[in-house]
Amino acid sequence: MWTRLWNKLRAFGAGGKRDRELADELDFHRAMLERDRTRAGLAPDAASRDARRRIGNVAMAHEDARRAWTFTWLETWARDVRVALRGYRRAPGFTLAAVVTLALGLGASTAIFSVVRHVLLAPLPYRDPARLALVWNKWVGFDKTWLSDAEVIDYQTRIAAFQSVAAWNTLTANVTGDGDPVRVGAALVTANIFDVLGAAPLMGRGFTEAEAAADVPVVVVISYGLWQQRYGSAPDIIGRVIPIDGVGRTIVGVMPPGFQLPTDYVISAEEPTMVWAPFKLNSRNRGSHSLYAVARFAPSATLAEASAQVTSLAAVHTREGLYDARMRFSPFVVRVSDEIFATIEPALWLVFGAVGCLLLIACANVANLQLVRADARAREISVRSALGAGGGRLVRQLITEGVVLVVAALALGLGVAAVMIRAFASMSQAMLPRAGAISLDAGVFAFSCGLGVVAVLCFGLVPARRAARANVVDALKDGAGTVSAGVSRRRLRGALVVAEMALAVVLLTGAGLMARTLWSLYAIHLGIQPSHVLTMRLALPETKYDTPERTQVFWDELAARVRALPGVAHAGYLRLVPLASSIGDWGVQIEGVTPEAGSYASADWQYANAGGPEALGERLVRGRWLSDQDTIHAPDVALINDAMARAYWPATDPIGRRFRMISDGADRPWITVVGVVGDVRHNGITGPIKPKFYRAMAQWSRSAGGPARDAALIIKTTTANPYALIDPVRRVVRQLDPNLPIAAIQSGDDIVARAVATPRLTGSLLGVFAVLALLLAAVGIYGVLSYVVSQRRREIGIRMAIGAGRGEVIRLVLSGGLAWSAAGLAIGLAVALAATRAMRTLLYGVAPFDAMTFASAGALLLFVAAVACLLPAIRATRINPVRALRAE
Amino acid sequence: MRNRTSLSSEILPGTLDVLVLKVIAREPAHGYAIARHLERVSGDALRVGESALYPALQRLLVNGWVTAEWGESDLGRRARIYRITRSGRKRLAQEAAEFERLSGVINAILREA
Repeated sequence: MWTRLWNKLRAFGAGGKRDRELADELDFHRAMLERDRTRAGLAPDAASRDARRRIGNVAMAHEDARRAWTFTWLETWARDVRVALRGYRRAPGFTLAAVVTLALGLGASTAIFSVVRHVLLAPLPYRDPARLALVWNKWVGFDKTWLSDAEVIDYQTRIAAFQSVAAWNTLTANVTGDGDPVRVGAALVTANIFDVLGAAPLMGRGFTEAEAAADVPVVVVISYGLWQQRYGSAPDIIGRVIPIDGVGRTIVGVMPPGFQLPTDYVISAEEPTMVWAPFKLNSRNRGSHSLYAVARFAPSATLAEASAQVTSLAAVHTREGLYDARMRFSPFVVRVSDEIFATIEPALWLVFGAVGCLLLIACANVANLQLVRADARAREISVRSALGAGGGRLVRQLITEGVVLVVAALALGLGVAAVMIRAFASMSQAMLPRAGAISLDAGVFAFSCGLGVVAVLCFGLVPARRAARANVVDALKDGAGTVSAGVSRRRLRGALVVAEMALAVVLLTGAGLMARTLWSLYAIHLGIQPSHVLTMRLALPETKYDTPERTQVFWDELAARVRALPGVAHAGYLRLVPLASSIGDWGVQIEGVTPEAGSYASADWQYANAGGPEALGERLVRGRWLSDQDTIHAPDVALINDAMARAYWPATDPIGRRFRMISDGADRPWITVVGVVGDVRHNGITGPIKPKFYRAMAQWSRSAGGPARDAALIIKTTTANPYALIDPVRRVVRQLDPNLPIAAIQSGDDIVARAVATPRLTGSLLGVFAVLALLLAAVGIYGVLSYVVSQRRREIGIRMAIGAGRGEVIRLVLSGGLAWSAAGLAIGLAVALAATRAMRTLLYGVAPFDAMTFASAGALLLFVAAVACLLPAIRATRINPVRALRAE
Repeated sequence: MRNRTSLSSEILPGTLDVLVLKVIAREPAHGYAIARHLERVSGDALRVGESALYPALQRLLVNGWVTAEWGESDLGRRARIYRITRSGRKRLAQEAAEFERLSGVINAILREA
C-alpha cells in the first residue's frame, strides 16, 4: 500500500520521463516483432504492417499502461461526475425539481442556523456569563420592577451568594460637537460595572470610586460603535473632552465591539446605551426604585441559593417595617442569559425544528424522484452490472450523482440563505437580540455542508442500496416500463409520502397555532389607534433649558409649528409612548383618604399636553382633555385612566377630585382630575393595566421639582405614510434649536409590530415553511402517483378493456394516494400533539392542542393531497386501452 | 471502456500479472521476451497482447515487485530489462499458493459434477 503510493508519487515527480520510457519500450517491442516476421519470410513492409497491427492500438496500450501509475480513484470519480452531469442534462425537469427543492430546504436551514448560532449560541460579551444574574423587584401590581439604591447596597454587602453587584440607570444624552448632534442611549453606572460584568475596556480604563463620588460626573466610557462612527476610530480618543448635554466630559475608555449592558439586548434595545458615566449609590434612598442591577455569583453559589437569600432578606426587612407587608415585596434573580433569551430562545428552536422538518421533506421528495429515476434506469444499471460493474462501483456512481445534485443545491441554497440572512441581520435588536451579528460565516458554511452530506445520505443511499442488491436477471428479463413496481418498492415510496405528509401536518399545525396567537394578540384592545401616527423622542439639555418657562416655550413653539405643517391632524407630547417603553409608578396621596401606616397609593406617571393623548388615539371617557390653558400659572390639573378611577375613587365621580404626587421632604400641590381616559396597554400587549395619571406637562415642575425636558412628540397624520413627515418635522426642530437631535423615530404601527415581534417572527417563518412543506408534500404525492399510473398503464388498460369505468379507475388511483395521505395525517397529528406542547410559552389565547387548528390543518392537507392525487387519477382515465396494450 | 485483453476476460483477472512475474522470476527479461516465452510455454494457448502485457508490467512496477533498467538486448538495441525484487518473490509465492488452492477447489467441484 505505502510502497505503491510512494512509487506513484516518485513517478509523478519524474514527470514526462516515464511516458518517454514507455514509448521507447513499445517501439522496441514493435521492432522485435518486425524482425521476427521478416525472419519468418514476410516482405519488410508487410512485416512492419503486421507488427503494428499486432501491437494493437499503440496509443491505447500506452494509455492502459499509464493508468497503472495514476491515481485511478480520482479519474474514476471525475468520470462518475461526468456521467452524472450527462444524466442530469438528459432529465432537466427532474434535475430542476430536485435542485430547487433541496436548495430551499438547505437554504432555509442554513439561514435559521445562522440566526441560532449568532443569537443564541454565541457567547455573551461577559466573562463567565453563566454566573451573572439580574436582580428584580416584585410587589403587588408590579411583576418586575427596578431596585432602589439601598437595596443594591444590601445585595452588595449582605448576600453571600453574590460576589459583587453593579447597578445602572438608563437615560438618554445629547452628544454635540464633531458634526450633527446625536441623541444616544446612556447609562449612569456604578464604578464596578465593568468588573462585575467581566468586560475590560478595549482602550483606556473603567471608572474609579472617586470619579463616581463626584457631584457631576466628568468622565465617560463610550461604546466601540460610537467611537467608530462619530470619532472615526480616532486613536487619540482617550482624554478627549466631548460635550454631553452641554457639559464637557472626558473620555477615559472605549469598550470592545459587541459590548452592551444586559438591558441593551431587550429592555433598552430601541436605544442601546453607548455612553456610560459613573454614579454613586445613595444609601438613604430605599423608596425610589429606578435601578437595574446585575450580580456575579460567588464561586460555586447557585441561582437557587441567591434567590433564597434575597427572598429571606426581604422578609427580614418587611418584618422590620421597611416595606409594607401588604406590598408583598419580594426580589427575584434571573440569569442574564434567561433575561435576554427567554422569549426568543424557544421561538428560535421551534423555527429551527420546523426548518429541519422542511429539509427532511425536501430530502424525502428528492429520494422519491431518485427512486423514480432509478426505476427508469433499472435496465441501464442492470446492463452495467451484468457487464461486470461491481455493486460497490454502482453504489459509488449513485452516490456521486447525489453529491453532484447536492453541490448544485448547496450553491443555490447558499444564495437563498444569504438573502434570508440579510433580512434577519437588518431586523431591529428590539425584535431579535443581536440581530446585527447574524452573518454567513465559516461555521454556518460548515453546517450547511454538513447538512449536504446528511442530505446525500438521506436520499442517495436508499436507491444506492437497492441498486447494490438489484437482481440483474430479473431486471433484464422485465421489459422496461412494463413491470408494475415491485411491492417493496411501492412500500418504500409510500413510506416516503407518508413521512412527508406527517411532517407537513406538524408544520401546518404549528403555523396555525402561531396564526391564532397573533390573531388573539391583535384582537386585544390596546386603547390607542396606532395607524397614521408618527412618534419621536426629544430631550432638552439642562444647560440651555434651565427654567420651566424656557423649557415650556420651546415645547409650545415646536407643537405650534408642527401642527401648522400640512398633513398633521393632531400633535402633542407624552412622556412615554405605550408599548415602546415601560412605565413605572410614583407614590401618590389621594385627598380625603388616609393611608394606613407604612402603605401608600401609587400610579404610573405620564405627563402630556393638549394634543398628545389625542394624537395617539386615546379615548376620553369623561371630563375634558388637557388644554393649552393648563399653563404653569393655571390651576394644577391631570388626566387619570380608568384603572386609577376604579382603584382610588371606586364609588364616586373622580372629576374634580384631587390627589398629589409624593416627593421626599417637599410640599407638592394638590392636582385636580379634569378628565378620565380609557385604559391603554403600556408595558406590553399582554401586560397588566395599572392606575396611571397624565400630569399637565407645563406644570410638571410644580409636582416634581424640575421641568419636563424629555418627551415623545406624537403626531397624527392625515397622510398614509407617517414617515413622510420626518423631514418637515426635522426642519422645524432645527429652526428652533440646531443642536437638538431627534431619536427613536417610529410609526405607531411599527411600535405595535415590535411589541408582537417574537410571535410575528415565529408565526411568519412557520407560515412560510408550512406552505413550502405543503407544496413539497403535494409535489411528492403527485410525482409518486403519476409514476405509479405510468407504471400501471397496462394494468389500467386491461381493466378498462374488460369494462372498468372512469369512476373505477379514478377510485383505484385515488385510493392509493389517499390511503398514504390519511396515514401521514394520522401520524402527523399524533406527532403535532407532542410537538405543540413545546410551544406553550409562545402561545397566547390558544391552547397547544386547539382542536380547531388541528382540524383545519388536517383538512387543508387532505384537500391539497386530494387535488394532487386527482390529477394523475384523471390522467389514468385517459389511457387508451388499445394503445396501452399494444405498447408491449 | 473495458478494454481488457482476450486473456483477462478468459482467465481469472490478475492471472496475467502472476504469470508475468513467474517468467521474470526465472531470469530478467524484456517485454518482448516475456510475451514470446509465455506463448512458447503455453504452446501458443496464451496469446499475450501487448496492450495487456505492458499495463501488467506497469502494475508490477508500481507495486515494487519488479524493477526495470535499460540494457543491451540480443538485437543490439537498448531494451528495458525487468528483474524481480524480494517482495516480488514473496508475492509470487503467495499468489502461487492461492492458485494451487483455487485450482484444487475447482478441480474438486468439476470431479464431483
